[in-house]
Amino acid sequence: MPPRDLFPIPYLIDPRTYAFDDAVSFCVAALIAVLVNAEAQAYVATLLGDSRPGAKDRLHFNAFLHLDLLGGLSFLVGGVGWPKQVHVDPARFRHPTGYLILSRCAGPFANFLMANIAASIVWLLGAFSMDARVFMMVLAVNLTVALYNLLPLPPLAGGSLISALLPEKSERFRGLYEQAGPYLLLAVFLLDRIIDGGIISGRLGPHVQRLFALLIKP
Amino acid sequence: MADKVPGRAWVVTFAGTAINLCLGILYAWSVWAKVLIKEDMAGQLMTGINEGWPFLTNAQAATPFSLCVIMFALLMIPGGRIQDRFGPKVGATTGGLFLALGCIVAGLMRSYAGLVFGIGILGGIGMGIGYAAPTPAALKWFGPHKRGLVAGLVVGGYGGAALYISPLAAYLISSGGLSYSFYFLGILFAAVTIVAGQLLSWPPAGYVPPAAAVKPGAAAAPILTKVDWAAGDMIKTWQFFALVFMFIGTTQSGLLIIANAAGMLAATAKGIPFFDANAWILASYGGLINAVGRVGTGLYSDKIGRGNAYTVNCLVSALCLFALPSVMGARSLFFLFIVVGIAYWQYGGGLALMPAFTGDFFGPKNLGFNYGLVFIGWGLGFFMARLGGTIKDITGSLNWAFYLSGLVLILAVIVCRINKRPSAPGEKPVAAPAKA
Repeated sequence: MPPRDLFPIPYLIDPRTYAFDDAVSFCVAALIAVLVNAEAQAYVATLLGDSRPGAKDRLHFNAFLHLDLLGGLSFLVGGVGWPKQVHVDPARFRHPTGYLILSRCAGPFANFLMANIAASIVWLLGAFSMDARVFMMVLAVNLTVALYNLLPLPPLAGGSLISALLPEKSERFRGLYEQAGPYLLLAVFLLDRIIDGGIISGRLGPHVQRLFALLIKP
Repeated sequence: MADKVPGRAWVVTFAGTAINLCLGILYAWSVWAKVLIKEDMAGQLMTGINEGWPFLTNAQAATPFSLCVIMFALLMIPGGRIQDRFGPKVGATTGGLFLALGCIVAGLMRSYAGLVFGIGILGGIGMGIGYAAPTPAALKWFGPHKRGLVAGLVVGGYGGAALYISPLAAYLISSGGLSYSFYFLGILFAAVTIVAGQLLSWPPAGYVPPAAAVKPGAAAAPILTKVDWAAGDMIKTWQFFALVFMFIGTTQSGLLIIANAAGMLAATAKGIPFFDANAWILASYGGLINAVGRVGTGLYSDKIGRGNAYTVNCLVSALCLFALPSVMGARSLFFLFIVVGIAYWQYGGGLALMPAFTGDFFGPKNLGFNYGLVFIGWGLGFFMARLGGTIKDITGSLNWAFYLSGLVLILAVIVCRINKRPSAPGEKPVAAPAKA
């Protein structure tokens, strides 16, 4: 039997390339990506001054409680998604805007770290001549999430950046922007899928693949 | 005697060991993999007692295992929640039932998909939920001076599973086939976890674990905190980062040795008739030493202190790292066994020591969360281990990776020596203990 091809990156559950084990690995990898993303935001927010002992939405390390309906759906549609909003109270920060951006950006940064850890596990299992396809999936999904967070729509980090930089008086626009963000993202991913990657995955995908190749090489 | 715990406490401890002995099935995966893998016939169906099972490729056989590890890690903390809310009985029983269901599903489906779903997903869920139950339940019965030993005993069962499940599974496969082995183990696990799960219990309300007998003249243990730290306060102390660094130290060195020397050990032992006939020794050597290392390190860390236990483990391991180039150059079987053994011991010992450190420094109440944060060091340790590959590419040999890793380990020991527990906010600074 010839060696099996690697799954497509960014991975999409697609009848044309469907394989049961890859699909299961993808779901598990998505759980990890969501967990890592949300906990990192909470972690950095806590570190920077917004510490709330006993808060229910942070630092519980339960991936299932971080799952967001739209964010989870988006994993199935576009191969990337987002966790339930981690509540951060900028008023508790010394530099509200700057620290808010920092804690939002911690999400994708942690996904990038997780991708590195997964790459290390792939390497380590390689030393035992084990094929670590599952961990490659963890690597791929985390990289994809990290990179797609550049998109300027909330709740992705890029969107939070813009939302935080909006002038004070545009409060109404900001509210609208943050509310519509997830739906817009989902719509864009769906459209992207219909026209076969013409909007996003055609542009960001190659970068994800390049990074993947870089990390997987020893 | 001052440290007399009720008999019930030991019942809970050993019930926990029994449950972990069931959950540790993962360590024996290689036994099934050996039967399932046949690269040139992958996809074709087996005949004989395993009729209906397909042959798998190497890569396919690794998938259920990897998925199981990840699900295990993801479910461990939700599992802790379940046990906090419904008690350890429910946690252990649910975990055992999931694992048993997974085994039976895998046996019934006789396919790759069945293994992915049964062992990978259901098995991982079962292990995660089940693993979270016994250790905290047992720890609540004992005072801090016994924490290391008790945690080691309960957690050690998980590693000890490799010892008996490998031969048992091999026997079941050869006598009744793959499906039979899964049915048998599934029903066995369900029975053991349900029975042992009923023996788990929390101490009655108001129970105070017996404290260590304080020898006259000795300083009362100042290393323990009386305050339960919240994660938010913990991550602002430098001691937290020191613990993370210490975790990086043990993980990276252990993994670096294991990754490079274990393969060579297997290759060197190949062709020696004794090891060909008793392949299980090599297969379970790591798991066994890992398990014994947890219990052993826990035991002596209770006696000589966590910092000293860490120092001993790490300095010996650092010596191994500096000696590794010559050991690997000589391909000496005896020394390879010793070096790999020490690495496994030290790595397992680190996994037993770090939760105890975290508990001592930041209190038992939020130990689950707090330890989760310290555990980041374990993940970063993987990263360090991989740097070895990069160094090999640059210098052409791994020697410098070993030396560097040894230095990091010594640095970690120094950090450990100066790392003393922080005083909690509002607490009076700890008076320096009189020099004993």
